[in-house]
Amino acid sequence: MLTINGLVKSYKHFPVLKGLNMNVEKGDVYGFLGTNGCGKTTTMNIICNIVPKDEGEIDFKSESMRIGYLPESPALFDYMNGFEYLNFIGACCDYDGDIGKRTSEVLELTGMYNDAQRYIKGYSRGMIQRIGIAAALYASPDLLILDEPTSALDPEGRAEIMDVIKRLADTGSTIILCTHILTDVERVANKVGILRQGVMAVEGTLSELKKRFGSENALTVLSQNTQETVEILNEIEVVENAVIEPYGDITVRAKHAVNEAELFYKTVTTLASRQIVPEGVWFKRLSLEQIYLGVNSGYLIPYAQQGGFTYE
Amino acid sequence: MNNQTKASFNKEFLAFFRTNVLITVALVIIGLAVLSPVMIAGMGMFMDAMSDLYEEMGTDVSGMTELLGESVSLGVQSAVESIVGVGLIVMIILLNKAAGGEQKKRAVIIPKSSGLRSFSYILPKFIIYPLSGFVFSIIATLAAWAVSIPLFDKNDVMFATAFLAGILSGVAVMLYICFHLALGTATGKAGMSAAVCITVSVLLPTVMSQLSTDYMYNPFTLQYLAALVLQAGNTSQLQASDIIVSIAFALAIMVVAFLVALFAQNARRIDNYGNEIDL
Repeated sequence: MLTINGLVKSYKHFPVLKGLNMNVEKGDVYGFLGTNGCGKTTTMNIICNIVPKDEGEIDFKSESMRIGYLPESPALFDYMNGFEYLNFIGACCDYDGDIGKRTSEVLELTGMYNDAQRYIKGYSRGMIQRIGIAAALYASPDLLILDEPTSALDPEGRAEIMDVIKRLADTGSTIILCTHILTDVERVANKVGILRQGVMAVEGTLSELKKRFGSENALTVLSQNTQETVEILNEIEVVENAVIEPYGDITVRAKHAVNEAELFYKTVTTLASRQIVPEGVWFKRLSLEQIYLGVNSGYLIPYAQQGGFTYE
Repeated sequence: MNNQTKASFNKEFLAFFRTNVLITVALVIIGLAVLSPVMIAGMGMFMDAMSDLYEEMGTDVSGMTELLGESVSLGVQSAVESIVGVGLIVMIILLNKAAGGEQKKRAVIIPKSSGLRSFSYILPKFIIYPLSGFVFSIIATLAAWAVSIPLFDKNDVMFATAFLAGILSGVAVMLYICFHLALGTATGKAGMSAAVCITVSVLLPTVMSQLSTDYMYNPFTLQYLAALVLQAGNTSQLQASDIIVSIAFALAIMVVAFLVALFAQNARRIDNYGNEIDL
């Protein structure tokens, strides 16, 4: 759908993008992450031709691809109501069919049909975002770009927007979700790219990233008798060490060349033989938040291209 | 006219009506124009009432009093000055949203990303707002003329003369509104554009009127041309062709302003078909 190679952009000699590479396939819901001011919006603006690039190639893999764009903090014409605004957008799109019917469709899709008669002046932030999404969807774009769709929204507003995005994702739409809210990405995205210092530090599916950066040879054990459990676990021959973490759970690390399945089996059977029933045992994986923080702090960068990594 | 342009006209109409800009512009321009002759006549009556006091002070105001109460043309001239003065300033400020304000607020990104073309975006602005200024200026001038007749001793202004003065003041108002729209939409800085246009509208005619007193073929002194038209005895010196050419120059400059705005918008257009924009 979209491939970017070597994208470079500076604003008045201040470099923002320094050779960004990005790959979005059809049907992806791509979570584009990065800190505030790192260049996410600049990248989206370049893709949408709002801002020209300095260098690099953007290949849309299609001769004429339609992009629907929801900018960050969209402003609408507040003297119009929802119907009027979307009818205007329909005319802007040179929509071939029945504009009124299409307006009703996108309003239903974004849950705004019942509020569409009210003036936009009276809309909440969440409602404005939903009208903005409806406008971006109007011409059935091939690629939908949403720039910080949930920023500055309260939890209810965020939940409303994420419901809409989830519905769109479930229909197979190709979406680039530009955000710094990781829970939103984990909820809907199948692929993630983390922008750091002007380049893509990490890119891959969520499961690939968690496997790449997660501890393949570690478990988390939750137990009422924490101290006793730790002592028992440290006696297991395949265990390198078992430590109590600050939050009270236990991390069990395997010795080198011991696989996860063997570690899990030995842990559970040993505890059971000693009459200890843990509250939970699961494979230790870094969360997206931990990956994101690790990449941004630079800690995980040396491991970004490696096939396996043990988190410490 | 294509759907996009029609929709854009509709958008500007809604903006003009629903944000109360239309009613405010109408009230201000017509109100100022009607009040101006009232204030002139009132000043004359005041000075007449105070003439004894002025005499005691050694000042003879009889000439001034006579002048202020004399002719309808003075009342209508003061109205034209108000229209192209304070009235124009108010209209420029009220049109800030249309003249780049909505661009500054980024309200145009979504329509432009959806495919709104520059011509469809700009054309309605350059039709609706200048024409409104033109129409209200004529109405205001005629209202001032109607109010002046009972206030002044001599009715030396025919309806046709007042109408012509209204047209000239209307064209002057249109000209500065077009400047404001062009500069504002080209830069996206409505406040700066308003400041520049207001300054130019005040200073330029004054400077140019010092350079020449016949005001012919000069689009920036149309309000002084209107005053000449209104002054008794001067109309015989003016040919219809002179006035038409003066207006034609002003209209030509407005067209240039429109083209400048269009060029600037085209340079900033958004093409969301996944192609490189061709600057």
